[in-house]
Amino acid sequence: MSKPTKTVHDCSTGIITEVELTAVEIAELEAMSERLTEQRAEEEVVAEKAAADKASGNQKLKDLGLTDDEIAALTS
Amino acid sequence: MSYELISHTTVSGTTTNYIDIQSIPQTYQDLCFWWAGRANGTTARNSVDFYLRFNNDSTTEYGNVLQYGKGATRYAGFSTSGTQMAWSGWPGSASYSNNQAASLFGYIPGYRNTTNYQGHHVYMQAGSSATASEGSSDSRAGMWLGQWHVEQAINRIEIGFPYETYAPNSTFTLYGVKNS
Repeated sequence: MSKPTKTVHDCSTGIITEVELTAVEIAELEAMSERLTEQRAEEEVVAEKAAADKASGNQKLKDLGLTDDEIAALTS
Repeated sequence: MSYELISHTTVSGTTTNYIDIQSIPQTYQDLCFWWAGRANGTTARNSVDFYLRFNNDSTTEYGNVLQYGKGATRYAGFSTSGTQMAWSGWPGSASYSNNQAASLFGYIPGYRNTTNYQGHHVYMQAGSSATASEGSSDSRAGMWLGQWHVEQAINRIEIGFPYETYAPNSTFTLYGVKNS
């Protein structure tokens, strides 16, 4: 399997090179990946709860007899 | 105001995790950039984390404020004390055929400024497209304020994926903005 790399552009020389990542750089990316995976899961929970709350709230307003247009006017 | 091209980098292979722009000239007022591309999608994940760092700094000096729509779902939030500015699960992975490309525009005002008492901000707008939602993937569009709480002139930008690689032909283009 090919080793992971970075594309480096040194603006002082204009030279672009493909450089293999060091063990330290790979470890840093792996640690970052773990943190971001946790963050993404938390964001999705928040977004899904907001969507569920919206749907539930809309249904309760409909149950009170409001039309979709009236609900939109109240909530937008 | 005028713009000058500093760097245009195109990824050619399939092993590149990130693009690293070094020795950025310290002769402009601001910086702005375009990123366009996608992840190569070798993992089973259907959306991909994406990040930026400055000056090879991996300390906990980064933050994000994000507001975006993902399909019909809206999200707003922030994070602090990160080791990168990141949008978790933003571009779709190519391993899912419904995911298409993503693009990102960013503006960095006063990138050489070391006396503004607030570090640096990156004002970004991003979008990604998908023909259908799969798992956490979908068409997304959002505003993203990246924060770097360090009073250093920015001379290096690292941008890419922590666990995925770039798809070939993805590009990063950096411009210097002159105020005259």
